[in-house]
Amino acid sequence: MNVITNNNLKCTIALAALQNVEDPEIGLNIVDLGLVYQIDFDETAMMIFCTMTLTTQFCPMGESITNAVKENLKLRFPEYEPIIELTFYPPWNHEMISEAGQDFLNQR
Amino acid sequence: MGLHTQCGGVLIILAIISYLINLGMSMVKTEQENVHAFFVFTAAIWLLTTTIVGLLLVYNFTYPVLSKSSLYYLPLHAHLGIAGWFLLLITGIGSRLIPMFLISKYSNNKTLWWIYGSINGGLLAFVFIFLYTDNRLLMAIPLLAVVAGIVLFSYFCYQAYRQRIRKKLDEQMKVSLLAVLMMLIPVIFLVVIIIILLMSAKENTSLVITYGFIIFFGWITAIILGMTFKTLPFIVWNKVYHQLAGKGKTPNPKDLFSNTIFKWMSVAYIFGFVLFTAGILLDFTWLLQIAAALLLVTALLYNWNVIKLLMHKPASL
Repeated sequence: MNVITNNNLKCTIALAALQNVEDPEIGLNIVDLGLVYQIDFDETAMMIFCTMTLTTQFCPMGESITNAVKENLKLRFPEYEPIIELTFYPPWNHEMISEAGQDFLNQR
Repeated sequence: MGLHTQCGGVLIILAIISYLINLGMSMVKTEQENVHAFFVFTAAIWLLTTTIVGLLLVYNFTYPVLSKSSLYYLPLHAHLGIAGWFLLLITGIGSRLIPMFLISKYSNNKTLWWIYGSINGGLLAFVFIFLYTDNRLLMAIPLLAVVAGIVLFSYFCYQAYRQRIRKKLDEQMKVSLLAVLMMLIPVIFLVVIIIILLMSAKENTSLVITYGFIIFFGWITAIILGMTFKTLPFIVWNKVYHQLAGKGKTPNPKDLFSNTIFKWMSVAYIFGFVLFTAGILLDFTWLLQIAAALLLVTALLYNWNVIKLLMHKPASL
């Protein structure tokens, strides 16, 4: 799980917050699933730019997941405005799942 | 047949044309090549074709628009509907949904194009042979082509199953994968029917009835039973909890229906299906009655769960 960021400390806090967001079909959080690609903090405009993907372009829960990401970032960083950008390049693949995520999926 | 039937047929055709236009416009707007969309669009073209044939058959009862009786064309009408509409639609959508819900690494558009080509090639050959030749032996060509498509689709689903990331299969996916296996049963029956027809000119009625039953109550019903509870919960969840996502703990889509009812429904369905098939083949009325009761239980449990899903109210967060 290699998330690109311009602020390591805040990114770690943001990722901890995003562990509350689960893919409801898989039951695993989006961080361990490897759906979060990049989190940047703009200290001047007070914005968080989160670039993420979905397990499939046709994911029926896409909008709900991005809404949940926005809400969780808002909750953890109330002074920032979160902007969520969905991308499918590179497309998500199983190698992006963290070790903990792999263990979780092997048990289910 | 009466004017009402004829007008009804025309209206159905208009509805399908509107559906085709909508589909076509969506496809034009899609930037990426989407093999699944081609399956759905072509399935809709076959639906239009079989509906036009159906309408011609209706008119043919009153005015002689066709060279033979309407009953003669019924196999054409039925198979264009079953293989053209149902099979193509289910393989097209199934090849998208099955790997997606299995969370599978497997993807193979080349195999999907072969399936598409086999089924459509088989259908075109079937239409040509049915209309222009009397040689029943030639029917082996479309049969083999469609069988190749079904076998390839089963292989595709098997690979998706083997390469799944989530190891445990839920009940809904088990029933959906069972439906894929059940696609092979009517093919076996069709081969037997053709062999019997070739050996003696007499049709085996109970085999023909079984063939029809195992298509509609076999893979078509099984995939509907399984996939309803993979797709509908997401639709309801999105409607009910869309605005609440991330604001607290929400139930998962699979919590919106009863898995226990689903399991009982599946058991009733499998026993009902097997016993009914045996009942037709053995001509045991009591077996048919028991099996019909089991299939009725299946339908009641299915509706119970669907109503439970649709009536779901959001839990206070």
